[in-house]
Amino acid sequence: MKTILSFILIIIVILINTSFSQEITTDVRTQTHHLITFSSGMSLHSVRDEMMSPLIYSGTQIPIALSYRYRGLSNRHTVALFYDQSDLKSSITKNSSHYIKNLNMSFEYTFSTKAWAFENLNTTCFLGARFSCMLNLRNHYYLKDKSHMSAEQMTGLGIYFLTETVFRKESNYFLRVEVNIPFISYALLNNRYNANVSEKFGDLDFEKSIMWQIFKKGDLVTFNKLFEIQAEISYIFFVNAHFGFDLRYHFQYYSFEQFESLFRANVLSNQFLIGFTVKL
Amino acid sequence: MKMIKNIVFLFAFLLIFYGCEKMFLESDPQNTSANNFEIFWKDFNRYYAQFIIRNINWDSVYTKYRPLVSSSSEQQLYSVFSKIVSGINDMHVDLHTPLGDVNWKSKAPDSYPSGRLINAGKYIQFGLSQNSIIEYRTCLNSSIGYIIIPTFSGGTDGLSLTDDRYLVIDEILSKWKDKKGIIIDLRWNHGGNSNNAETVASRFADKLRVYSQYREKTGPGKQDFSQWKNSTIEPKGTHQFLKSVVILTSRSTASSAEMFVMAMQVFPHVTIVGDTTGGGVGAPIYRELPNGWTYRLSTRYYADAQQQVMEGVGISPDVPVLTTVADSLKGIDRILEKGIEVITTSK
Repeated sequence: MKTILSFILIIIVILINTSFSQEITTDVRTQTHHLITFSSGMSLHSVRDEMMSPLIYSGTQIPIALSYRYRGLSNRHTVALFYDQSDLKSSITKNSSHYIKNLNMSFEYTFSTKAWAFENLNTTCFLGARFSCMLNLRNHYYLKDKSHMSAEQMTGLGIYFLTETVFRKESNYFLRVEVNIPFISYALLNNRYNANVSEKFGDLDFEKSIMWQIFKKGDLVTFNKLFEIQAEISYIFFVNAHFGFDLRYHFQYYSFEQFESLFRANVLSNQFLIGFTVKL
Repeated sequence: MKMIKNIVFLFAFLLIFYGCEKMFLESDPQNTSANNFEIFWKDFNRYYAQFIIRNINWDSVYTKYRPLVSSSSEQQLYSVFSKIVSGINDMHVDLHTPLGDVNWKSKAPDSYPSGRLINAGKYIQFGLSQNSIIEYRTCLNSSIGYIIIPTFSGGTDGLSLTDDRYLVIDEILSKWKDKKGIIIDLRWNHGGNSNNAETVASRFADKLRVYSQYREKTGPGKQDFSQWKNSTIEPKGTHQFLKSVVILTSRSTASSAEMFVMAMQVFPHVTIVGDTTGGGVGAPIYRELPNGWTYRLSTRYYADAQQQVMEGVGISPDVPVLTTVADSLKGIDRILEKGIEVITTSK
């Protein structure tokens, strides 16, 4: 895993150095852009699912991310899709059959508007809101074919903060830092005492659409049950007028109350992504 | 200047990456015998639903066994857990370790031969039809259909909570709508996923009925149980078979197969023939310890529609019949013979 990480870091260094030696001089802050980025890389995912196990499970994954960004003169819009899937193992049971099949999917839309500008730092700050919908589905395999399902599914609104720094006044290289903190979410699959016992699952009809039945039984939750923070550092540079690269580090942590104050699901995800960006 | 920026950038990445897990996630609990015992005991204390009906004082288990594991080896810990698991005597409580597994042992008299159908040619026509789950044939008396369901497992991955392979029952009942009756053989069915059992049983339902009741452990306190909850069955699928149906049972019929038996038992056209069932539904869950050992425990206790608890007791057949070892050696399947007789003589 450290070899892969080192490899990614070396690529990042090379790309950053290459980018600083480019001489493209367009002041991007006076133009509107549509940016479409397809990214992949490595995700390091760790879970402590207290309802299911006392152990931390972790693993590396190869995520896929697709994003569309609109960069207006004073507004920003982003639509992003994210997907990864892999097996997670605990530190103690690496050589046994205990593992988690983890599926992580999310969709988000953010809107932000210019709030502050620091001309001397070439930095602009944006403030806005984020709508997100995420599913983190975990199948815990204890023995050969015996599994229990655990999951969080949350659809919510949050506060979104973005800063964009242009490295030189007239350049095509940005450093973006964004922070999302959801403040209200509609959460499914909560209030489960264990893999079997849940007031949400008691009277499901398994021959009808499970998703719809579960969806109807969600709850609105806020900071008392869900604490989540997402941060992203993204460095974008263009090799010509339309094509560029996006180096991204994405961090996500959430802690979701599974049952009263007894159990929480704590999920930590670090993603290192390299993307190909098209500017329209 | 450019180099400094690059270095700062990289250091920020590394710091975030290496610092995060420890900052946000507590370390794993220590893998010591004492800690493993504490987690094991607390898990049962929180989740196990059958202490009262099995007359077990869990606090006294702690008092008796905790001093034995303060500095014990894995072998000693295994020995202690084996005694505890065996003492609970629940078919859904077991332990799986590299040192060996500890499984429930039936205390019922060994009156039924293990293995599959005895002398099938004497009772059943050749020409097997099956998908990967359900086998179905016709008896020598061609007005009687014979279905064998060896398991109810499958279909619990992710959000797919039922297994579509069990829907073959619609196809079978479509072909057999003119049969006088159907025998469903569950004598070797140890259970699986109760949703699959309900899927099959619903094809024999005449109307919505309560077939079972259960209470589940809903919190860490000793008295934290739900009220009695109903399990219901109702007509589903393309065809309902409402003529005579016989279910064949044995001591090996267990868990979700017993859910199936309870569901079928409430229909007026169904007769249970054979031996008392194994006696455990329990809705088990798996848990694990910091040393990697896995164990299972029951989170509910079930009763029939009249609230007679069946955990540890089993479901009594309507027509008790045993096939002894001597019978099987002679190629006689008394339970199947009785099942055929029940349908043949039904109106």
